[in-house]
Amino acid sequence: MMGYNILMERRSDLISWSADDPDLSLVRAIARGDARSLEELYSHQGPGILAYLFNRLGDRELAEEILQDVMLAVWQGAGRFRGKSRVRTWMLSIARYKAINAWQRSAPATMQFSDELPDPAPDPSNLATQGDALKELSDALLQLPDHQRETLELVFNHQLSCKEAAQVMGVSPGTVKSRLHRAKASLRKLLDSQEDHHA
Amino acid sequence: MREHPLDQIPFYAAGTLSDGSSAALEVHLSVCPACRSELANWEQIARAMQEASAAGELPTLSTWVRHSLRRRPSLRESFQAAAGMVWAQRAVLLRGAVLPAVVMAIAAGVLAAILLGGFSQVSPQLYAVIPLFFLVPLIAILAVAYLQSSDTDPAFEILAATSTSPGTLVSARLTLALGVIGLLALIGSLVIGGFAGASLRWLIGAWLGPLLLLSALTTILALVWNPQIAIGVSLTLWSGVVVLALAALQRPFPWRFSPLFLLQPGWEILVAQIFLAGLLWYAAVRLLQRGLPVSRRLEAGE
Repeated sequence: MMGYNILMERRSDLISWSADDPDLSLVRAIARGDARSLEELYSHQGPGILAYLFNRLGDRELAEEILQDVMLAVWQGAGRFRGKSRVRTWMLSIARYKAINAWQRSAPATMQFSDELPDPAPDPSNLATQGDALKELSDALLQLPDHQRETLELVFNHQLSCKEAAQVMGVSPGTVKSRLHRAKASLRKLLDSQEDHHA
Repeated sequence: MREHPLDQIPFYAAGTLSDGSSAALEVHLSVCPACRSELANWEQIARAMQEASAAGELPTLSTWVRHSLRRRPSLRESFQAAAGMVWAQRAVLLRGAVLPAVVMAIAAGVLAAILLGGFSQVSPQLYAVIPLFFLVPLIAILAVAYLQSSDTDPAFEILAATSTSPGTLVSARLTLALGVIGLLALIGSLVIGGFAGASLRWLIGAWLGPLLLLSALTTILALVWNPQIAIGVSLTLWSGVVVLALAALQRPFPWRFSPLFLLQPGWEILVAQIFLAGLLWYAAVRLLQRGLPVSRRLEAGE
């Protein structure tokens, strides 16, 4: 029962990311002043961070600008990075912080906070059963509240663990889990309403 | 029947569950059609997310980033950056009544020193030293513990996500707080010296060593245990020393070393205190760089 979940959670926490993180040696080299390693890290992590920034900000130019800021912060902060988290988690945290700053500077009046949809009972039936339904699912994903889409993105596109996603967003691991379930419930709801619409 | 491990399934679909957890989940999936259906849903979501989020062309690193990479900051720039960071922490001191309280405490000490020096028949120079000797390390202990206990500071949420390590920021705050206390105490000592004619070496030396030693000790204790224990231990230690020194003023001590040397420190005592304080501060800064304040907070929140 409870024991099962607790046991699973503990085990997943025990994964040691930093030891086999290939980017850690790059960050160590960057800390010693090796600019070529920064270029290499940029080519590894740049595309993911850029996609993350673009999805948060919806502005390609601003996302690219902040990506440069992130790389500069990595250059300056590499010496202080202790490898307690994966390099990707660290860089996403910096990117998120810089994106929030840029967002607040550009549109302080339009800031919105949690607008989570109500959480209906989980439905075990498949969300999309046919090939073309994937398109509908992609459309529905775009309609999710940003914090739910961000959570899905960190988990599925950046392959962060529950704890890492929580660290990047500055929330508890429990919140990450509940956002995931709410996102799924929201998708279910959106797809159902699309079906009704088609019918 | 086991509870469905619904929380694990999205991470299994993302491929980020540990091997052990995955194996246990697979056993459950083999006997649970509901969870298999749940997994199918998450796999569809994962696929849709990955398709929706193509990164596009990565621009090259901008010229100004490249330019910044070519050169390391000079000594002067590093010093300016460090001073800027220390100065940026002034809001912590200006918040609430911290700064006025420190100013008033030191002003009271100065007044007491002038009065004690003026009224003392026996050794006015010695008595004029006592108030700041007692007060300045006391204020430092309280200030350091206060800065360490501001974990609830909303800024810590942001610190956790910045490239500046939290230890660096706490170090900057401590430097600023101790710098301000030291500066005020120095001004106070000059005023007392002017009025009571006491030796400046004694006036300053009496509080400088204990200030550095006790603030380092309090920082270490606050990091290793907590700020409450740090205050308790440091205050007890310091009041013990002060009581011994005052007792030694009343009657000669039977021991070879009288604690009076703290009130009238020679150069060797000053150097020894500063050396020892340097060692303690080195340990304190190493502890701070490990980022204990935030990690402790995050662990507690999980």
